[in-house]
Amino acid sequence: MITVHLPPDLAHEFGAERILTVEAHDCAELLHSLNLRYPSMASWLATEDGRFRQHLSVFISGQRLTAREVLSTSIPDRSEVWILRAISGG
Amino acid sequence: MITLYLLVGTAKRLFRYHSRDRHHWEALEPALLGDPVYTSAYSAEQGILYAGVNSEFYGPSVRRSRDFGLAWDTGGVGLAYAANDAEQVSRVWAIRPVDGRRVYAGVEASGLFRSDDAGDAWVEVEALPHASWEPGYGGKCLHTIAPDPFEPGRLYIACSSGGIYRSDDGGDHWEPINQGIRAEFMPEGEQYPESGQCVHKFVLSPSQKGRVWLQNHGGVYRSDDGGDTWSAIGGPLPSDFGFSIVVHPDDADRAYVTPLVRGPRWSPDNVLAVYRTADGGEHWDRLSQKLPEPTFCGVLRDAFTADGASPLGLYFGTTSGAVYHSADEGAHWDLVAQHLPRIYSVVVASES
Repeated sequence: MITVHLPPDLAHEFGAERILTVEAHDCAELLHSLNLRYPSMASWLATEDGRFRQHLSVFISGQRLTAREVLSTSIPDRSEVWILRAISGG
Repeated sequence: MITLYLLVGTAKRLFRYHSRDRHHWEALEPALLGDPVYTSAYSAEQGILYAGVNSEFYGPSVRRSRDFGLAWDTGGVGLAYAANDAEQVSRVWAIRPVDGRRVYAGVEASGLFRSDDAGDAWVEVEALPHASWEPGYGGKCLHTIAPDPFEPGRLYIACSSGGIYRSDDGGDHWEPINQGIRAEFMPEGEQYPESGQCVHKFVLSPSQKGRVWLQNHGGVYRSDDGGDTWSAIGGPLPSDFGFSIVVHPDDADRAYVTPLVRGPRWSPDNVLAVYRTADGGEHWDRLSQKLPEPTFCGVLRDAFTADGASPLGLYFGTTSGAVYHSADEGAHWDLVAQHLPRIYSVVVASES
């Protein structure tokens, strides 16, 4: 199980909880789990080429992923994942 | 009683106004906080207001409202190219509801999407040759979509800068119909290519078969044969550069443009104005009464529209964030709102 912190505005748009727990082993599985609960949410967070969107910052247990990180990046069990709007987005 | 809603898409949200008499406009609660709204469209048949929302954080989406813009969903699925496509869908530039639950969306990088369930699921219309097109200054955008009101299955699109294209089989095959439209940014002797023109906007006459009006990146044109041939009609205007063009729904000889000076892209002589022709483009009259001057702004391609009332109501928003309306076909103008962000789109929707 991992804990996901969604950006507040994204959670608001989808009527989602800001903090969720999901079963996932990598970022792709994480987005898949989110998409099952909130259809189309994955496309708000990542592009078709399998990377996070440019102006999102993603942290896994305090470690920031590089910009446009690939979704195959693994997530250790019991991680805290933060998805944030990056300062670069305007 | 009819209530009109005016939906104003800006760089930072969608602003909403309504009126019961086309003279007094009341501001309603704005929507879609913080995100650029490039285009919107209303389908009375579907009872849906669509908005093309281009979030810097979450990407593009076609979102829907069933209460004239107060509450919005998060859009459908499928508004993306294949994973191995060299290009990505980065912005929504056009939304065009048609019959039934069908709706089209034009996107950047230039492509056309179709939905047959009012935007729940989108599928790319793959027959368009978008890979060969070049981006204009605003991006490589497919910005205008129009079904032919007289020819079932005939569909037109335009792209900057790919030009205007027509399909006679609902989108399975396309042909460029740019013959006679000048590409002023090409070298002399090469300014009339088959495609690659920077068409800024076109609109089909709903009252005369085959009549198409077109505002080009330099040049205003009219076709009377569905785009097979074009006549340049912008000569009398103070500038033939501009983005928007609107037609009268009942009088096929009447059209309206908002010319801009090429460099700064503001109104000629700094006089904010709409220009109207009532004779198919031979003569143009400046309509600027009660509009401010000097101004240092312009009107973008989706920021000018008309209602279907008589006399015709006209509405436009400026790049400096002001919205003006006229309830008498441009003879007099009044301010609806000012100090908004840069305005991308203006749409009128009526509630019976």
